[in-house]
Amino acid sequence: MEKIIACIDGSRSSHSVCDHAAWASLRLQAPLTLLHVIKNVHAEAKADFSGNMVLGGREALLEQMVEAEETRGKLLREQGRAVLADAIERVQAKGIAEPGSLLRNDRVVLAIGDMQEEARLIVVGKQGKDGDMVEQHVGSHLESLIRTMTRPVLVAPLAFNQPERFMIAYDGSAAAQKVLDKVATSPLLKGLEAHVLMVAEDNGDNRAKLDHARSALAAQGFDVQVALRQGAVTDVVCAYRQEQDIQLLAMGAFGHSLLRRWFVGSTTTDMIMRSPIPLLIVR
Amino acid sequence: MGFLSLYRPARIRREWFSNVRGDLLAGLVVALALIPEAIAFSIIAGVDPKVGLYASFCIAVVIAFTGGRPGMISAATAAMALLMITLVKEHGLEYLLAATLLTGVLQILAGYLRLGRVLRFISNSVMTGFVNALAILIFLAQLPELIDVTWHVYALTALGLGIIYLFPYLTRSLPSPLVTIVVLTLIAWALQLDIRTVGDMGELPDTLPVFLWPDVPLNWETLWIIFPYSLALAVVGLLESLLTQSIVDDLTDTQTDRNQECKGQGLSNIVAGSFGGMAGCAMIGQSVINIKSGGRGRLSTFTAGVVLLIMVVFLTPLLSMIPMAALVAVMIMVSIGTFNWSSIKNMKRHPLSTNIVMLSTVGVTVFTHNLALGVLTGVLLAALFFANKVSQFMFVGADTDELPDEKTLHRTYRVHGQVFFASVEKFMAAFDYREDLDKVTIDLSRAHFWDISSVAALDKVVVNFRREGTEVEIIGMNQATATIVDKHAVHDKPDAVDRLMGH
Repeated sequence: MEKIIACIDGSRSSHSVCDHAAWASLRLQAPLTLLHVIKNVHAEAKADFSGNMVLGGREALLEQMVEAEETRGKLLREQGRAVLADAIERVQAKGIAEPGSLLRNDRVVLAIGDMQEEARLIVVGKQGKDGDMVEQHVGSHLESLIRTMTRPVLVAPLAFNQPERFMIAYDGSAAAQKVLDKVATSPLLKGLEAHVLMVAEDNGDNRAKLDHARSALAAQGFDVQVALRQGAVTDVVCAYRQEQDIQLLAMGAFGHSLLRRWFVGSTTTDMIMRSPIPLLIVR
Repeated sequence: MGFLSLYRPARIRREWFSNVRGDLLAGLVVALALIPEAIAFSIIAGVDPKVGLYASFCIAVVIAFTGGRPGMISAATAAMALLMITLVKEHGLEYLLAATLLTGVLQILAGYLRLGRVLRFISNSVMTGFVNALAILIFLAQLPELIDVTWHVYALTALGLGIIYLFPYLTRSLPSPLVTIVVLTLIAWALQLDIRTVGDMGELPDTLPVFLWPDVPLNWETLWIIFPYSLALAVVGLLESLLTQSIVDDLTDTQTDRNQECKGQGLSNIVAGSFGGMAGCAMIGQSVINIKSGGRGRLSTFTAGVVLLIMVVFLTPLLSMIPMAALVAVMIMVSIGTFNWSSIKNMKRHPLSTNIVMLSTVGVTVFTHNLALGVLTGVLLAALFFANKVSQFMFVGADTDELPDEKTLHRTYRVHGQVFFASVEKFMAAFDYREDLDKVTIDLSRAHFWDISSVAALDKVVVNFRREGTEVEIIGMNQATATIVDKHAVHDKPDAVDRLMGH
């Protein structure tokens, strides 16, 4: 459980994923493995509406499908290896001596799920190959990925900037406390300027919680600033980020029930959509 | 995990809406192909075309929601129609509907009893025989339409076959069977040919199907009449469905739930029976057409059913004008497409026993017109051949190359391999009871005794030696008879196989 796993797919966010992963690997002094998952989709629909059956048509149909998939599979694997080779070069240039690489043929979320036992941190891009050029678009696998992970996930935006200030979105809950402890004890963000933002009513109880958060971080040698604000969570967090020029946001994920998310949407997804900075999501 | 697991949001998205455009188009193609087939199969069973058409609609729509295999097409089929002929002839349609309901109940039962696993006992050659027999039966069922008819019918049928096979070379965007039916109907109508049409074969649907309980007396006598038919229908329906399921699984490289499919088939037959339709099952040919046309999800099956009903109810006057020759042409295509062509080529390579199993399945089916009997024959033969092959893996080695020990007059026999009913004769013949021996040791540690016959044979060997005054000692008995124990608890342990095989 000591590796950094960087999930790349050859899309434009892969470079940034490599950079973020290299940065995390150096800070955590942990080995880096680059993971690329390909999926050779079988039996893709090729429309032939002739609706007739010829002698031996069934066997021929299977043969045709297998042939097409075989060619595509070989091609995909070759492409996959090229994507990995590219990424290896990039992280080596960043100072990672011996990055590992792994090519899997599976569904992305399953493949990463299989590996998470060995992972200390999983780095993924905000959007993948099928993400278009929309800044706010979130990759199709991202939400289910974050939902199934038990390890921290770093969601990388399209460009890498060396973080100097980070903030924790804190609500005083047990989950938020966990995020705080994780951040406080991990070397990943050591030495960066820390901000703790709480979006809640301004009362004594919440102030006490915030103070507790401040002292927990300060005890680990962080330079901490705290703020308590009111409003809609996502809006307040975004406003604070701009005003303080925060370069990384740490938060818990998906605290609400499925039902509520279904109707109201989730803060996590919302945050991913609106953040041009890396997000560290701690489960 | 019952029907409810089918309705998780993620699963609904994947199985219903992951391929909407492809499913809608493929469903349309399949619906066009289903109409002539449903009519033809009704005619085979000896009921009005509407019975098959209503059945096809109900089965396709219900199985879309309840089946285990997305993208598979189920409707009224030839295999089932052939089993109903006698029942319809002797007792009429109402009894057929009652039998259909009972078939559904039996199939749901099979699903809950997890009989999908029983398919393991049906070897590849039996499956091939099943498919080939089905193809031959579909073809034979067309012959009555080609006997005692004018030359026009032959000409139209030939033209129909020509269009079916040649039209795809022009364009693959229109189903060639549909083009055939349209063209032949137009010709027959334009030339005012006096030939048989679908309208002559019985009633066509003119309304949506309505719920009606079969009008049969609810007593033991009724049950006694329909039960044998229902049983055969249930077995054949599940066989063809599970066979089709594995074909579609292979084509799409996915694994699906067999027991769910059994339950779904049962439910769809119950619905079909209560709306005046005959029993049906999955269709090999149509499912392949669906996959070929790009259908993958449940939506394709659902579309096929709904489009079929809409077209049938609105096109009844046109349907009745379709000449039987066009249906015959389509059905000949279906039978040719169903036939497993490579099985003929493979006969040269396959061992004789495999070919005998396949040909017997075909032979018995064609002779009795009952696929259930054909499959039963095939399974029995395959089991016998297997037993025979395994029985060869038994030999008794004795230290016969040297004389028995002078002092003790003692000989050791070592039994290797499989001892069971088929090999006991060979086992008993391997011992020499006429030798002058004081003591015989029989070492069983490398043998497996599979059944009571083998134990009885061993007792007999011991008795024979004792009668000659020879003392017998048996060693390794425990390992050898471990295989008799019918309780499978031992198989759960990782070293079970090793222990069973006496290593």
